[in-house]
Amino acid sequence: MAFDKLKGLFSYLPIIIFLIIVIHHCYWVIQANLSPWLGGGYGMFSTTDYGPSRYIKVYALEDNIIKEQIEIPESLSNVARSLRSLPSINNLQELALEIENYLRLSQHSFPHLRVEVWGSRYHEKTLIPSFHLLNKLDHKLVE
Amino acid sequence: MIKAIHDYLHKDAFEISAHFTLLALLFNQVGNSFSRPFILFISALALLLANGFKQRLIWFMLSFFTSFRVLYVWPMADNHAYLLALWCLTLFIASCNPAKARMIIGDNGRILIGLVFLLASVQKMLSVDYLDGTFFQYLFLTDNRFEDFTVLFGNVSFQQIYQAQDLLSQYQFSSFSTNKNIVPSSLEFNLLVTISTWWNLIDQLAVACCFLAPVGSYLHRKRDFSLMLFCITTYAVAPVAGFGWLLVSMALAQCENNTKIRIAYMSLFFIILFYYEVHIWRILVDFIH
Repeated sequence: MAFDKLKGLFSYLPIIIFLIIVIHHCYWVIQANLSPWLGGGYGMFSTTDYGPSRYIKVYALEDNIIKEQIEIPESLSNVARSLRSLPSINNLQELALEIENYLRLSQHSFPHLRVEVWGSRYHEKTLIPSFHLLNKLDHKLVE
Repeated sequence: MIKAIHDYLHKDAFEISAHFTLLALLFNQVGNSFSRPFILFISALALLLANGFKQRLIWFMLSFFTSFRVLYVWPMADNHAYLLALWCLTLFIASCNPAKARMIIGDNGRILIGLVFLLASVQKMLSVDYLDGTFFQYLFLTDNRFEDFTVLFGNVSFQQIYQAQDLLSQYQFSSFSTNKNIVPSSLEFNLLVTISTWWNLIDQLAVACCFLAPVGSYLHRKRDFSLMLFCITTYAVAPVAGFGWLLVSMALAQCENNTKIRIAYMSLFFIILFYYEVHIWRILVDFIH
């Protein structure tokens, strides 16, 4: 009897997994500003809050003062794309580490890096954007 | 030829749906360089072998590779990648239980389509910038895939679109603050934005209600019509044929054994192919200009 019920439930496994994915999507949208377009929540074509409207700023810091803005190299475009879509601490850390390696190779040295992810909101009549900080990380470079 | 088509239309829903899913996999070529060759090879094998579509190993492997593709790039995979993986899993479960295959693919197909459209419409209703038209204004002016459509129906020129894009990029973190309107002043453009906003929402909500309505109800009986209307209107504009093909493959699994509905869905599959390959808005723009 219990086996039959389990077998019946197995027939609907795709729907169960679908619902789990949706809960997972909602968690990441609320917890870490995942773009509603991604993560299996079917929010595509529902908001301007996706990749092209999100920006990453990387600064070199010294004594908490911005010394230089660092351009993200083309080779890190995939990491940057992931970070724009999901500005979680892990993704911020990953980009910071990649940039640290890149700076080391190009002989730059700063004590700290700041990585910021910004979102845009557009005026409903004029589309003039305003910006809000989604997440940021101050990363200490290894001596 | 006509007899062959007639015979095909009377085949089992599992066989037809499986065939169209495999065709969708071959047409759309999903995955990355690790998973794509395997997905294409297995799909081709399943179509070439006699009764290949019935092999549970085929569907297990396709479920594995389509799921791997989603997990490997999480969260960057498109939403239809999730649905494709779940649909391959459905076909695997059905192939493990041939006696109930028709019911398994029918129920899962119908409910999954309903849930996808329910979520898509709820996301639009909850969004901070969808209902006021901001989203479609932004999309039509910044996404190059829609520029021909915007020029044709929005009474704006390509130059106005590129100017809007330039202005938007100047606003990014600069001291540029002339407060110049980015949206071109065009009555037709505003109308296009309003119609697109509400048509998309109402149409998707209607599909969700019809597919999730109790079996036998009036809405339930209208579900195929609502989905076909969505596909015909949406995929003429939105260049996401892969999602359209997947929806049609799933819809073929859940529709009644009605020859007319099957013909309509199969035709729709190829209409989406036509939309994908023949850029009708581009041709019209070139013709008019």
